[in-house]
Amino acid sequence: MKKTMFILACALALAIGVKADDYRPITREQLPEKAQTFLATYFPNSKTSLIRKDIEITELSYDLIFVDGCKVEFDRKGNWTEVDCITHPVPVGIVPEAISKTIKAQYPEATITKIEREHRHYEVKLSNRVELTFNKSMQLIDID
Amino acid sequence: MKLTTHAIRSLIAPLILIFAMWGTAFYIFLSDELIDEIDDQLELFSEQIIRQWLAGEVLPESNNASNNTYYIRPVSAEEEAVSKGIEYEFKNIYIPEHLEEEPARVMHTLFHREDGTCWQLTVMIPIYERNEVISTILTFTSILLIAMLLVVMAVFAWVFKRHTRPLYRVLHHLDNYTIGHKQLIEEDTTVTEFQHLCTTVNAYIERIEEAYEHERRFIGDASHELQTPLAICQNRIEMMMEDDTLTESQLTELGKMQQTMSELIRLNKTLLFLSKIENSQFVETTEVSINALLHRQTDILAEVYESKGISLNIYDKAPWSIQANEELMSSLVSNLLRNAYLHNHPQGTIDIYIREGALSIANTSTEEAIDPDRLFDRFYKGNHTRHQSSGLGLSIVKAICDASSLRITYTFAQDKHIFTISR
Repeated sequence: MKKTMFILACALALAIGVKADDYRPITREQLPEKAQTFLATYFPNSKTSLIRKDIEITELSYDLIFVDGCKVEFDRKGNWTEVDCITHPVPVGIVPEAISKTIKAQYPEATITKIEREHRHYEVKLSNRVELTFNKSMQLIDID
Repeated sequence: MKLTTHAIRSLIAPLILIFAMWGTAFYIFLSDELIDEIDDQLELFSEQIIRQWLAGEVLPESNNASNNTYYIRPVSAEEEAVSKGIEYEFKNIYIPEHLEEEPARVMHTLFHREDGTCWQLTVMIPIYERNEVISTILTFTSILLIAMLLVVMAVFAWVFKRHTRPLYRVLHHLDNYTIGHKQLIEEDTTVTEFQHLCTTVNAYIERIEEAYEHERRFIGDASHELQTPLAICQNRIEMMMEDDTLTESQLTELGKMQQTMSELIRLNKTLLFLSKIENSQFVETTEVSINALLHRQTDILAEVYESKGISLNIYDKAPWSIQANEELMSSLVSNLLRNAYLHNHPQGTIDIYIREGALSIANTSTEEAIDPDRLFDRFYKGNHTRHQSSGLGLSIVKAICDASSLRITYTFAQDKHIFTISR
């Protein structure tokens, strides 16, 4: 009986102990190496305003805001998942070539202000407020 | 306490404990989750504001319909050094729409501007709804867990009862089992333990029956075998007494011997009779009127025991006839009456009641109540030996009752020993 009680108490303590969600400010050096390389490559001169580590039960991600309001998100390993520059165009090298080709052909005037990489597809927002969705093989599948 | 009750009782405490822990954990998780949800909103809101502010865009109204408020202020280097960067807190804030202070969740975020200066954004969301939600959750969780506890108990009780049924069947069987009426338990179960129990109980019943049968046959055979030598012995004594050459004192001794011999023969006959009853050798049945039988027997016995001055009252309420062996019935009534006379004191009374289905014989006696468990045992004479009783009379009564499916009960009330025979 005492043993059972002990196990139950432990389980309860564990359950309470696992804090579901947490945001923590970190420095640039605390980012995964891959993310640091990405920043050095595409945003060599930008100053950061705020870097946060976002801890959830199953996920870990990093948000970075530059002083001009631009935002980059990284996943647990440091791969980028979102680059949002509000009104400015995102660095050219980020966007997959197939996508930028398609966009240049269809919207020659527009620039890409935001790109999101999700599990199965890319979402791109243009300066003319058009939103495009591409699948894994870079084919346009939705326009909004 | 019944097994089911016992099991349920020992189950209640751990279950309540587990459920209470479960409920507490659930409650803590949920209220945590609610706070997380609010923190997520705060985080999204502050990210939006910081980015818009940095990009120089138009900021949203500080106090829009959602009651979310925020402000941005510069932070000194000293303050920045001690701050954790992102801080949460609960705080009461003044809500103009409500004209009072309300609890709110507050998030402070430090960030830098291009010129390197540090700023702090504070965003707030009122959480009075959250408290309501939490109390609702608490109530519902409690109700649900109590209901679940009851349901679990009910299901457990039902399952347990169902599964222990064979056990109660065995117990019931053993309660109803009487030696001499061999009846085995049907093994109507697939549970190994209960099958084992049935087999074991059946084996014991067989063994008991065998031993009982053995004993019965032995008594029957022995008393049967004794008959002839006893009779011869008695005859010899009789013949010897006819011898004229015997002296007076020798004759007296022989007379005593013959009396003892007669008692021995009577005892042997009774034993034989008893074993015949137990072997169900009286099979023919006729319609026997208990009333008539009783009157006949009392007439005879009243004469025999006239000297004791016992007053006999017969309350003949209703006629009672049963389908039984006449010889057995006669023996039954005569044994009971004889018993009532024999154990009575002089000038005592005997009251007899006959109704449809029952015969009661109540007699006064110098003796106290008798142990009903031993009363019908063979050769049981209580704590006295002065009467000329064989100790077999009530055994015969019991055997006859068992053989004729009658019930005999003994009670002691108002200083009277009462034997009741009923259907």
